[in-house]
Amino acid sequence: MLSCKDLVHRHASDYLDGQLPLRARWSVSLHLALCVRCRRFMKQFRGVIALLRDEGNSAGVENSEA
Amino acid sequence: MPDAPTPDSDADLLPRLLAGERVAFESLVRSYHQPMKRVAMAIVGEAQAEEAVQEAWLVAVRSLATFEGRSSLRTWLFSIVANEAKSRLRKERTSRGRREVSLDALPDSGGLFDSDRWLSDGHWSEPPGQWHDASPEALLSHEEFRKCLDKTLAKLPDDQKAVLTLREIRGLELADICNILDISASNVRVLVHRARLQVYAMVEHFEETGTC
Repeated sequence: MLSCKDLVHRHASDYLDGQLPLRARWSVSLHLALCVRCRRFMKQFRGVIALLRDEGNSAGVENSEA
Repeated sequence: MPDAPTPDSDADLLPRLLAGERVAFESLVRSYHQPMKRVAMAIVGEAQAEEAVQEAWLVAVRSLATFEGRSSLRTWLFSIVANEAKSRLRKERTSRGRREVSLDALPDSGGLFDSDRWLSDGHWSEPPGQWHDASPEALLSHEEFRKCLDKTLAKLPDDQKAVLTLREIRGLELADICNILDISASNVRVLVHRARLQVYAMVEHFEETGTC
């Protein structure tokens, strides 16, 4: 089974970006269903990505006001 | 797209640009100059970004007649400025013998790459803790946090910084980033992931300590 370390180091972004092939996607989904620690990590990681996009939005506002 | 300009559409602008209409060119510059500068900054740094963009505009004007519309004007302009910025970066690296960042290199230690975080079987040794301010809005409202974020982004390796800027801050698709930076899709994905993990590590540390 996929390890927590592999999920974090190798698959997390591809999973969230919809870039994983079907088999790997199922493997990550299964791991997340069973592992509360990785579920917490993924929730936080998703938040970090949203934060970067929010930062991009605010940069866009600054640009348009420049 | 987080900050995509909303100029006249490409279909409206192109014929006017090709006809040499000054107002159309001014509209193009107003819409894309700052976004292009951010792309250049991500690749070559702030000091040379403005020059890179100005050179890119000259190239764009000279090449407009050959623009075939296979990509959007935005992607086309970003490609031109990225090429100009990369060319400057290569010259700078040659002149000061700068180390290339390789995808094969081990990721930076620290954060989630610390060996202390993991048991030998790949399970968590130090799992992530509960975050107090989990929402992006809450975090970005802390002035101290914004400084930490800027510092973290500035310290990313050049390739990671360029890819993260184009992906998250410019909101480009992976395929467009491949074209603009001339790197493979798998490399883009690895670079995006590593950069995100670096930012995650900073956020995690900030949540625990209130400092970078």
